[in-house]
Amino acid sequence: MASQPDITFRDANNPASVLGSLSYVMSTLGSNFLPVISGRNSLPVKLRLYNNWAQNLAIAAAMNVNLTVYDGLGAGSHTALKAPVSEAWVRVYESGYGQSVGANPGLTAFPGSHTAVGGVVSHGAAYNVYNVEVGTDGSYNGQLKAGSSGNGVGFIEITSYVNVPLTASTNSWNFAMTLNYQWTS
Amino acid sequence: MIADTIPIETKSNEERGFPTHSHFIVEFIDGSIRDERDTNWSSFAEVEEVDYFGIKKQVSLATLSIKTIQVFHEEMETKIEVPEDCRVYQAFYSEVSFVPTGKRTDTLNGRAVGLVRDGKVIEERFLNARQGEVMGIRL
Repeated sequence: MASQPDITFRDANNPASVLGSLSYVMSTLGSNFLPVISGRNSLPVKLRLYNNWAQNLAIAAAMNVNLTVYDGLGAGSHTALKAPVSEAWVRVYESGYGQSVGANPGLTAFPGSHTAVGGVVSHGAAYNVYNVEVGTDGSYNGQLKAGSSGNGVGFIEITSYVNVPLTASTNSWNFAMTLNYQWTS
Repeated sequence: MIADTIPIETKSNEERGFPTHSHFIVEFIDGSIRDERDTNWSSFAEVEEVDYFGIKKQVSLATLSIKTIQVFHEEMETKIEVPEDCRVYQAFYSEVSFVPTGKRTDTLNGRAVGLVRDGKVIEERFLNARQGEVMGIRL
């Protein structure tokens, strides 16, 4: 392979669409999202992390992939000051994977371990991360491959929700979901 | 020479997704040399699972015999003399972040280089771009 992995966050129900937003809510009333009550879980949301949706040639695999949350971008890209981040409210788990040489591959379901992410930041890294359990090819190695040859499409599906503690106060929070990975030229 | 067996890459660093200041230089046991600026690590490496200080990790291990490896990133550099019974790996450390407004950012946090003996990592050095220093761990 030669080039950096091309990783995109996409809508699990419509992978052709890059994710515009990700909202953790308890339920909906018409087109309105209702907040999550303290002591309860939000509705689960699904997203897909694709490598090489564009099907370019010679795209590297992403190795040792893990997910976590931080306060935001820029100055907040590696801090944990907001409650959902510092208190690790967000839970994630892998719910499927797939890869193919061309076109959007089908989903193989996988029951990943529900994992709280975020927490204290030490040496620039969050304390709690979710290590992807199964790679795009179904191997237990946490790789996000660009298909089998670096010329295709690979994805993992993540399901996420928040567990809001009983002590949480009324608020609205924005934070960043971050995927860490390693790769070689 | 060993270096002559590796295909030449014509794409620049930037075209492959990493900056000009970031590259490795490997010296093979026959004295021949290759620079990442015209070489892909994956041309002479394979991904294997190793023991990384008690946990399993995937690394891209060189399949050719390397005498020394020098890695550069921003103002940082490090050089490792490779023992005969060890193999070398290296990798970029990257992240991609997503925020609710749909904005996505890609960041290169640095690069690591390490030694593996009998399936175990015995040393790793990390050129940490976030903190501007070379960090390391050794058995």
